[in-house]
Formats: sequence, C-alpha cells, structure tokens
Amino acid sequence: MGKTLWKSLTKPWLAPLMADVVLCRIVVGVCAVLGAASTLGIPVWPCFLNSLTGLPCPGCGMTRAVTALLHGNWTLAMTYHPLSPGYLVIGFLLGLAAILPASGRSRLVLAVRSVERVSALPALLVLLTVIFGLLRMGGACSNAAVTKPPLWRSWNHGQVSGDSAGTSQPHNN
Amino acid sequence: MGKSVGILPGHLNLTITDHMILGSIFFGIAGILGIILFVQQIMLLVKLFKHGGVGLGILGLCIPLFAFIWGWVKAGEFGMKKLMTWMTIILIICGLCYGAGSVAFFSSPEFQEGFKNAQQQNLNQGSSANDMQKRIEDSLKQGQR
Repeated sequence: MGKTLWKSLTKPWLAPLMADVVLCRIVVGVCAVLGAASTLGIPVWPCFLNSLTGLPCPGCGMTRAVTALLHGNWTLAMTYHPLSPGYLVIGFLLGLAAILPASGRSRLVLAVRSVERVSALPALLVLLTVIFGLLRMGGACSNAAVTKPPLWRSWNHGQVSGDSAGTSQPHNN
Repeated sequence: MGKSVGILPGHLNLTITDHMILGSIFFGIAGILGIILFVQQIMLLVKLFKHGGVGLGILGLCIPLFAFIWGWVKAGEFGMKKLMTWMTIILIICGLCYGAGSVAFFSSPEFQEGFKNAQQQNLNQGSSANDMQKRIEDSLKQGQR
C-alpha cells in the first residue's frame, strides 16, 4: 500500500510534459507572458484565493520570486517563495524543450526522464510546494511580503469596529 | 431608501440601496457560476490525475491555469471538449458578472471613501505588500553597501 502510494506520488511528470511539444510551448508562452507582466507590474492573473480570502495559495509569490531570481536578487526571491529556484530550473528545461529541434528535445527528455526515475526530484518539488502552501496558509510560515488583506476585509473591519470611515487597524495575515 | 448619490457612469441617479441590490445580484450570479466552475475544475483535476499522473495533478491543483491549459490541449484526446467549452463560457460570464458586481457595489461614494481610508491605513501601518517589498529591497541595498 505504502509502496504503491510512494510509486504513484513519485511518478515522473516533467519528462512527459517536455515530450508533449504543443503543451510545453503553450505553458512556456503563458509563463513568459505572466513573467513579463509581473516585471512591468501588471497583474494579469491575480490569485483568486488570495483576492477573496486573503490566504496565500501554494503558488502565491512564485512569479515575483522567479522574476527576482532572474534579476539576481536571491534574498528577495526566498522571501517570496523558497521553492522558486526549483521552478526556475523546471521553467528553463521546459523552455529548452519548447525551442529545441526534435532530435535535441528527445535527448533532453531522455536525460530528464532518467534523472526523474532515480531522484524523483520534480515530484518531490510539487509535494514540498503543497506542504509549504499548507504551512503558510496555517500561519506557520511568514507571508507578509506575499499577500495583503483584501481591501473589502479592511473596509468591513472598520465598519464592524464602529469606525465608519474604515480607518481602524486592518486585519493582517 | 438611501439618499441619492452620483453613481455608476454618472448620468444615472441611483441610491446607495440600488447600488447594493445591483451589486448583490451580480455577485450572486458570479457566486453560483463560481460553484459550477469549482465542480468543473474538480472534474478536470480528476482527469488530470487519471491521465497525467499525481505530479501533474498536484501541479494543476496548485496552478489552476495549468490545469485549464492542459484541459484544452488534451480536450480531443480524452473527450473533454464539452467540459472545456462550458468551463470557458462559464469562466468568462463569471468574470464579467464579478466585474459588473464590483462596479455596481463599490462605485458608490461611501464605499470608495471607505476603501481609500483602508488603503491609506494600510500604507500608514506599513503592512501593504508593496511597502513590505520596498523595505526589503532597501535593507538589501543597505546590506550590499
């Protein structure tokens, strides 16, 4: 039972994703658009969970962290998302798979598949992301730099506490 | 009924109560569509876990946009065209209703004033994400010096 669960949890996913050229190119394209928008400060795809509840989802801060990494600002990237270097490597591999010719891509996919089978690193990365996300949601990790309380909550807090102008202390995560 | 306030595009003369009713209707529709969207997302995630494996499934769980892209790319292969088409239509209508609700609900001067004050309060308290980022960047710059 435990072995089967572990086997299914650590099943390679990156190599099959890289092998699917169409999916890989679309994912890389969307990531590039989101990254460029993040650099320009345009919120193209705001996190719905954070917008509605103020809670950070497991991926919150990832785009900003990867952008900070690309600018060489490791400390800031770690503040936003400590697992961002892993996702930067995955993004780099997906980008390579998207632009390489068929022969080069198949060689790269084979190499990644063998690494995945031995180490299960990409599978562990997504598992760690979920664990980190849950810890952050529970307040066990700091998320002050990643999220802010939704404005409706601040406003509502002001109303409830009898301050009609909403100028009382806003709820902070 | 509340007092008359200059609202929405400006030429309409709606009261604060009208604003709240309009906003509530749009938010209500968006909420119902959101629940349908949530169910569809679960159906899509089940397909993703089944055909893509646990790794891709968790990735889709963390990044719903990835699940959506995967769904469209694999729609023909796994017979999800109907699901993806409905999901896209509902997503667009839900977004429009949410936007319309926000405009209707929060365009009244009372709400805007409250938001402005809340925003100002966030800046004063130094608890906003932008302020936090600025402080972190400043401290890093100082450290580099």
